[in-house]
Amino acid sequence: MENLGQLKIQQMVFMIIAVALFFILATLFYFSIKTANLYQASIESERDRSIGLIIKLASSPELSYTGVSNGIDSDKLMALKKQPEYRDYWGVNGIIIEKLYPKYPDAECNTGNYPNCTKIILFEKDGDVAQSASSYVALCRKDSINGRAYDKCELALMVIQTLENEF
Amino acid sequence: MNFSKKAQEEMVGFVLIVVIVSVIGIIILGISLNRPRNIEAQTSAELNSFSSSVLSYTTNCEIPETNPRQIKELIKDCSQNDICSNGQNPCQVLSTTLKELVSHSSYRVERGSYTRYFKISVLNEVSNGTYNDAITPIQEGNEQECVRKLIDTQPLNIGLAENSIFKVEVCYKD
Repeated sequence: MENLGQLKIQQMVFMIIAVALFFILATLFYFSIKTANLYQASIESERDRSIGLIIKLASSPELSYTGVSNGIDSDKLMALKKQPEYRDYWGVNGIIIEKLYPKYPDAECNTGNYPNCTKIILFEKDGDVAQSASSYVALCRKDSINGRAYDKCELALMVIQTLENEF
Repeated sequence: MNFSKKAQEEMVGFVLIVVIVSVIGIIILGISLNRPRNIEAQTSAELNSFSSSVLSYTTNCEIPETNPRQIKELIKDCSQNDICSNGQNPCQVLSTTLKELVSHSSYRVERGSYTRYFKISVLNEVSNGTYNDAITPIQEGNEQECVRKLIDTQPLNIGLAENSIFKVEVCYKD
């Protein structure tokens, strides 16, 4: 009779341990999923913050193309490229604009090949770059067909390089 | 003998409970895995910059001659059945250009790519909250493979309808 009692107690202890283990595992599983989502959300938030900086720079009067939302004036970029005093004005380590579509010869833009080129390096400071962020922009310029001027906008990627934790 | 029988009965009972719980668990797991996942779409600053840049893109369709149309203008030309000065159909130019723009961006859908699906549509509001497609949507990939979905809408003030929107949906594997 005493043995049966001990057996019952043992059985109950095993069950309690099993149930407790189950709940601990389920809680761990739940929190690991939650943490993964949190990590993803923090990456998204960091990316959105850096894109916010790009949008801010793109909408500055020195770069923006009047009348086009999210538009950058490539003629202004080519003019600013020759102004070294602007290098410290933007507060970043480098600004590069890369044309995505349509395709042009894969070359850095200069006065000789512009606009038939792919990459406009506004400036790029020496030293290690800790982070870079990019966002899409409409790269626009004035063009003409049979003497009639029009706005020609292309798809481009604006890349900003910074030192650590500048975003 | 009596003790042994009782122990056997208890063991059978315990095994029965474990089996029933396992079967119920498997059934619930099966149902939840088979159920089409309703993913909540999120907004994205990057997708927003992509869609606004796409709308400003200048195409090679001129209406009239020497007046190249931007994507947002071409949407109107397409819905009004206009013709480009070189004889091309604006809807065809629109579709080809949008596909090319997506394929040259990080949102391209290809084998091994992170992006699994994209859809670009132009919608006209017909009544409160109800929208109809103004042009044939451009889409690629399989929406069923989506785990994370991004969405962006841009208002189109081009006189198509009282409320028209340019909608871009992109989704990822994880």
